[in-house]
Amino acid sequence: MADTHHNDELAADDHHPHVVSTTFLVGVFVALLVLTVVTVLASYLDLGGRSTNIFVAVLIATVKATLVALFFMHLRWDKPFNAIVLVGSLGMVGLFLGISTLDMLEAIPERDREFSAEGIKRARDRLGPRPGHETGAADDEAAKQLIQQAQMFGALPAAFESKKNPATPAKVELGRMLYYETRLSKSHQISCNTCHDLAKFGDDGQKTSPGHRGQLGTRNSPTVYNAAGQSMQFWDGRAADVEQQALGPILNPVEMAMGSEDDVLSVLRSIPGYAEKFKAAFPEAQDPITYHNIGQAIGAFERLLVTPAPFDRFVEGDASALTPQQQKGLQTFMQVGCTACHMGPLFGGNIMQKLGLRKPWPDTKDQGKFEETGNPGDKMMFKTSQLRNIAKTAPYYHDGSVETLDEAVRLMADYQLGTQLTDEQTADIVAFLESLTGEVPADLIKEPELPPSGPDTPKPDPN
Amino acid sequence: MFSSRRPWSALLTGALTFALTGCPGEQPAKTGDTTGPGSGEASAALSTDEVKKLQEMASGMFGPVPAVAEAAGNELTPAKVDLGRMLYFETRLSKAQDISCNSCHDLAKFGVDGEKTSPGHEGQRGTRNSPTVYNAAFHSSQFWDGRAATVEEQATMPITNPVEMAMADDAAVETVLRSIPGYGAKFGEAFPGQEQPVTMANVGQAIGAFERGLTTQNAPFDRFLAGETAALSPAAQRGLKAFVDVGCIQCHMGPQLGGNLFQKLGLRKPWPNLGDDTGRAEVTDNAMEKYFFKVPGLRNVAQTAPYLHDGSVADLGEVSRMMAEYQLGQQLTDAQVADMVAFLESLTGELPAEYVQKPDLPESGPDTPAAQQD
Repeated sequence: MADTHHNDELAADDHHPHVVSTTFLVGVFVALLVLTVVTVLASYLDLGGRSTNIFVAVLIATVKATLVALFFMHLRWDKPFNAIVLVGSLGMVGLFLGISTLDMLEAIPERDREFSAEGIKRARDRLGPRPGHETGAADDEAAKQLIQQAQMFGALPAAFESKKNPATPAKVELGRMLYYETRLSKSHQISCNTCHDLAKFGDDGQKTSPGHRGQLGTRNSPTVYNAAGQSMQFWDGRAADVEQQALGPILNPVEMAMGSEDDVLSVLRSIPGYAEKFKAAFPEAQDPITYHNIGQAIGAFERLLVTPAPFDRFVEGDASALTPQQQKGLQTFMQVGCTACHMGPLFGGNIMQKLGLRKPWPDTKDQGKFEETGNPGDKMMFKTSQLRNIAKTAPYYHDGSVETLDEAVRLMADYQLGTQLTDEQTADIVAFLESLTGEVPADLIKEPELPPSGPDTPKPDPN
Repeated sequence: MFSSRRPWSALLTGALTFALTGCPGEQPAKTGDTTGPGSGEASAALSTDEVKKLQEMASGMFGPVPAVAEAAGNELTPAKVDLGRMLYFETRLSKAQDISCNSCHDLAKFGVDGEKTSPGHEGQRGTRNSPTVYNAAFHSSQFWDGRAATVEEQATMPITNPVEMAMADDAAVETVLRSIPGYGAKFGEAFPGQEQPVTMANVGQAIGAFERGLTTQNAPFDRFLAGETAALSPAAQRGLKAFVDVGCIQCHMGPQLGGNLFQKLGLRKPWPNLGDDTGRAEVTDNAMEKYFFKVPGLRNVAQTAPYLHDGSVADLGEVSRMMAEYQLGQQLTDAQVADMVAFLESLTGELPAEYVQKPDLPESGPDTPAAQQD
C-alpha cells in the first residue's frame, strides 16, 4: 500500500514508530481537499474588501500547511525544536507577506488592485514619483507641485474683454438676440445657434454642419465657448477676432446664404423692434444698424461665453478638483509635449500648427491655411484647437473625421509628437481633458424673445 | 471582489516585485522632462541604417528651399526685381540719406548686421533684433510680432519708422523718388500701364519682388535631404536626430525650420528678463498672446547671431540650450548642444552672390531734398 510504503520510508529516517492509523491519514487528506474547495469558493465571494479575502485565503492555507506538517510530516510526534524552527519561519513569511500586502493596499488605487506585476507597475506609474512614504503629506506635496506647474497655463478670465469692442449690457443683449436670430439666414431657419448650440457646449455634434438647403460645409463647427479668447478664428485663422468671424457665415452661400450685407441690413431694418435695440447698443452712431455693428454686438455677447471648469479650481489651489487619474493625465499631457501647442488658459487656440508634424497626415484634401494663402509654408497649417470642453465637442479635427476623444488624443501624440501612447496614458489624458469641461453660463445664454417681423420683412427663401 | 485566478502566485509575484524594486515612495523622481533622448549617451555615430531612416524622416518633414518665393499678388518681372534691388540699397529712402534696407539687413552678411538691435536714424536703437532677409519671403508673417503679412508690406514700414529710416511719411518718400530722374523710367518698366507708378505701394512691391529671390540654396542639410547622407557630419546627424526627438520641430518645422507660427517665449517656464516687450500682444491687444513671438526660421542661423527678438543671446549653443529648457522643459547635455549646433551649422546655404550685387543708383536731380540730420 502506498501509504504504508510512504510511512516506512519516513520511519526509517526519523527513528519513530508508525503511530497513525491509515483512516486518520485519509481523514486528514479529505480535510485538506475540503479546505482547498473552501479557498476556491471564498475567492468568489466578497468578504468585505480585498484585504479580508486575502486574509481568509492565507488563514485557510496556514491551516492546511499545519495539517500537512503535523500529520504527514510527523511534526506532531517530532522533537519540539523542529516544530519551533518551522513555526518561526512560517511566522516570518507571514509577517513579510502581511506587511507587503498592507503597503500595496495603501499604494494602489482601488480599481488597480490586481496583484500582477503589470498591475502594480501600472499603478506605480500612475502614482508617479512621490517624495515621501507618508500618504497624506506626500500626496499634498505632489499635488502642490503639479498645481504650480499647471499655473503656467494661466487663469481663465471671467470675460474676454476687448478695448476695441467694450461690452455694455445693451450691446450684449442685442448680440444675444442676433445670435439666435434665424432671420439672418436666407431660409429663416438658421442662426448662429444652429451650428454653435449654446445648450450643447457651443457646437452641434455634427462632422460638418448642414447649412442652407442642408448643404454641408467642409469643416467642423468649433465651439463658440471661450472662442473669443483665441488669437484667431476659423480653422485656418482667417478672421482675427469673434467680431470679424461672426459676419462670415451669414453671407456664406453654404451656411446662412444671405445675398449681401445690404440684404441683411434691410431684413433688420424691416423688423420694428431692432432699431431701438441697435440705438441702445451703439448710442453714438447716427445709423446704428450696420453690418459692422452686427459683428460688434454678437462679438460682445460671445466674449462672455466663458466656462470655468474643475481645472480652474485646481489651478487656484484646490487639489481635490482633479481626481488622481486626472492629475496623472495632466502630468502626462505636459511630459508627452502636448503643451507645445495646447498652452495658455484655453489649452490652444492661439497658434497655427502643421497637422502631420512628425509624419504626414493621411488626409490632405483640406490643406488648411494654404488654401487661403497659397504659401507652401502654410500647407496643412491649421489653428491648434482649444481644449476647453473638448470632451463635449466631438467629433474632432477640422473635418470632424475622428469621433472619439481617445482616438483623437492617440492620433495627436502619434502624428504630432512621434509618441505612441499606451492605453493607460491615453485614458489618463482623456480623464484630464474631462476636467476642462466647464459650467455654461445658463442665464446668459437663455434664448431671448425676438421682435416680430414687420410688414416689409422679406419672406423666407428656402431655395 | 478578488478576481485573480491564482491569488497565491500573484501575491508572491507582487511581493517579490516590491522586494526587488523598493517601495513606491522611494522611486527616484524620474519624469519625461529629464529623459531627453541621448541624455547621457555616448556620442557614437549613427549606424548607416539609422542615418537612412533619419534622412527619410527629415525629407518628409522639412524639404529644400525653393529658388524663389512666388506670390500670387506680386508677379516677379525682371524689371520689377531690378528696381527692387536698387531700392533695397537706396539710402535716399532715409531722412539722413545714410540708411538703406541693406544697412541692417546686409546681404553680404547673411542678411543681418550682427547687432543686438540696429542703429537707425541718428544712431537710435530699436527694441528688436533685425532678422535676416534671406528666405524671409517664405515666412507666413513678417516682423517678430507678425504685424506685416508679406515682405511687400514689411518693406515700406521701416522707411517711415522714426527710429529707423525716419522719413516723415509716404508722400515724402514719393517726393524723393520722383525727384531722382533715373527712377521714373525704372518704375514705369516695373509697373507698366500705371499713370503714376512712383508710389510707396510700388516701392513695397518692387522691394518685395527682389526679396522673393533672396533664397539660400544648397546647404549641407539640403544635400542631406536630397539623399547625400555624408553631407552631414556624424555630429550634425546626431544633432538632427536630437532636434527632432527633443521636440524642436514642434515649432521649427517645414523647409524654413520655422517662420510659420507664433509661440510663447517661456512656454514651460517663464523666460528670464523678458522686459516690457510683450510681442504679438502689442499688435493684437489680446492678453492671451502676451510674449508670443514669431518662431524664426533657422536657415543660416549660425551666421545670424545674436539671437531672439531682443538679440539678448550671442551664442548659438546657449540659445539652443535655453530653448530646450524654457520651451520644452528639457535639459540638454553638453554633447547634445554640440551636436545640435553642428546640425544648425549645416543649415547655412550659399548666398546668391550675383543676385545681391549692389547696382548703380541713379543720381539725384536738382529738386532732390538734401539729407537731414534733424
